[in-house]
Amino acid sequence: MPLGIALGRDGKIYVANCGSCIGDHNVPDTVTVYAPGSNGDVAPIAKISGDKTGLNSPAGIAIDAVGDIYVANDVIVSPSGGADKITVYARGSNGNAAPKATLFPLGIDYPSGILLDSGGNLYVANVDGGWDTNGSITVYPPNSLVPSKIIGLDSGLDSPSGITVDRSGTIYVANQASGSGDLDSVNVYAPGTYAKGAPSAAIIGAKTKLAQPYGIATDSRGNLYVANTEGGSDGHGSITIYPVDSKGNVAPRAMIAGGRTGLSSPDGITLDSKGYLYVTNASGGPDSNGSITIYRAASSGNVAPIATISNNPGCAPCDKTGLNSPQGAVDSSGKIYVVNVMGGSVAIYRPLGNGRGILNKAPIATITEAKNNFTGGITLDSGANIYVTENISYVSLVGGTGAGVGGISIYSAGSSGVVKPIATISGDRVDLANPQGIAIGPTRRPSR
Amino acid sequence: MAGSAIFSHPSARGEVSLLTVFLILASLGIWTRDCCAGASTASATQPIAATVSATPSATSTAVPKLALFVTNSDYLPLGSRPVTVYPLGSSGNIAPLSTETGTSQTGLYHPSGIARDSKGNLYATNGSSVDSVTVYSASAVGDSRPLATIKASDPQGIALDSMGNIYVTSRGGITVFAAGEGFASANIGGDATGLSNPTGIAVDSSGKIYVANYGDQDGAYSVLVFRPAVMATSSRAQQFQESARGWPCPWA
Repeated sequence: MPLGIALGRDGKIYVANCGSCIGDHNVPDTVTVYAPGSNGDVAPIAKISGDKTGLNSPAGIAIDAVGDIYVANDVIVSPSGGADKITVYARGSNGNAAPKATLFPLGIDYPSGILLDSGGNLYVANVDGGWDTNGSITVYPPNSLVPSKIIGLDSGLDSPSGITVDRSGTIYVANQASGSGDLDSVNVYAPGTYAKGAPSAAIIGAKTKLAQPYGIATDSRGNLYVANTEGGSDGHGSITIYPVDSKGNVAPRAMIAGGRTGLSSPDGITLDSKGYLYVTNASGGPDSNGSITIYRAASSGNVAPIATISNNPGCAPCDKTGLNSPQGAVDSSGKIYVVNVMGGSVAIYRPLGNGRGILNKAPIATITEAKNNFTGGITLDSGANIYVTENISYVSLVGGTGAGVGGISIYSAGSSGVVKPIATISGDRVDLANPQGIAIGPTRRPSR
Repeated sequence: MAGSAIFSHPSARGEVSLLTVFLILASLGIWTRDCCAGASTASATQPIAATVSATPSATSTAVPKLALFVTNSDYLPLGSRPVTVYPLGSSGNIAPLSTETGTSQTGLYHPSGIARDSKGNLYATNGSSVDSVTVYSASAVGDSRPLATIKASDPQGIALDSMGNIYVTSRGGITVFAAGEGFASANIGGDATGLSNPTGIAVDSSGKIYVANYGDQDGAYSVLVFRPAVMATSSRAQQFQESARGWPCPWA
């Protein structure tokens, strides 16, 4: 049952005991502390145990310079689930003590061994780290949830969804971390890195209000807009907005959420030339089949959209929109492009113009995919050709999410109806697997 | 159709000249002041965005190549990278631009223990199928090859003493590797030691060895403390290992 051991500067012996590791739910997870020089059948001088501690199959343990106790949790999957986390207990903690901090650092994945150096940097051995799941080592500066470096095939990404690339080539990725809300983040990668290695920055932590972030966009000033499919004041999702160069555990500068917003599992977001926000809601509208809500620039709070594309309330049978779990956005001419994930189609709507209120309007063009394999990613190139992500083949994994071999289909501008793509990217060399987000951007910073 | 040029022009793989971008935009009637402002935004779900983000600049001397950036939410069945990148204009069964190898060069394999020496080098224990301790320089980052790889049987916990000697627990006990050497200089194991599936390990400034003894099905949980190990020289290492079983006795 004792898994980890560490020595305090005062010679005390700290032990992490993984009760849940032996499969007997009656054996608690504990941290026991013994006096220096202890010998024989001695009682610990302190025992951290109980429901307030947050201990969950603890393994690694480390003591910092002031005597605070760091414990790596979730080395095994416990019956109660639980997220990978580092719990920190104040020096001298005893009994059913709540941690002074619970850390969900980016990149931890079944953390096992941990250590602290004299500068307070935290080192973690991750049993399943990296996209090859062979393991990684992550290093965190003091008070940082973002690794300063990663050893291994690891980019700090886990089930990423939305992606955008700004004009400098900087890459922004919405990271859902396998559905664990506490690990949600927006990762930022320097131009040309292709999202390899540790991110150059990340927005992560409880203050960020990120909750299953999916869609992501930046405006011309570098402000960041995130569509969160969960969270918000009513639990139906939110739009969180961060100033340029935000990083760490920062509060959003503005947040759109609440009953008046019409948000319902928002998954796609973009801006038009006026700064209006276009949001696709996977379960929006009276029929819950989806909607597109449009907000004025600089909107914040529980604000009503200026327009909503959906069927009218009480008129589900007369739905003209064809929306069915939509994702997508708008091009700079104002046309609105969405991919209907459940409907197997790409729908294109006229620019908003002066439209206001509920707009139950049919698309001006619909591209139909007979195999219904669209996964939700959509973007356009400068010629208005349409790029959509899909799963060429899909394997359902029992008890979990499915695994897909991915592809990209490209439809020419102006396509409508049942048409063949003008190009596809797929096959065993492309290395796509259930692709979710797609963006076009420069591969490096523009030279000047 | 203007946009099709980027697929049909072989020399245009991933590159669209400023003039081409301008002509396409102009032909679509979207090269307006407002559109330029809006076009400088970019999104996974926002078309045009990053493409137009290569906006002509008086001081710009080169246009970066444009590419498709894709997020992958599953790692199965291919073990795909979370983000894959393709030249704009790609078609067919092509490998992504990303240059990482499919197999990590780090030698990491489900690492459980971690330690650090006074130079900042990092040590990790790697599970039963690779049986190794891998060592990384303080500057190692990403997919780095280890500075050294030490063969160790099913290593679990790891600690270093002030001299840089490496202490590794395994099912068979504790093995001590001399600083800077790849051979075992001491081995603590056997019935008299009380060691049973030891995991975590720590060494204090005097060289005393503290072990979290995970125990067996009988529940022999304990913390064992051993006197400082006596290190064998290289020439005596093998002989020492054979004679050292059962030594030293634990304090507890």
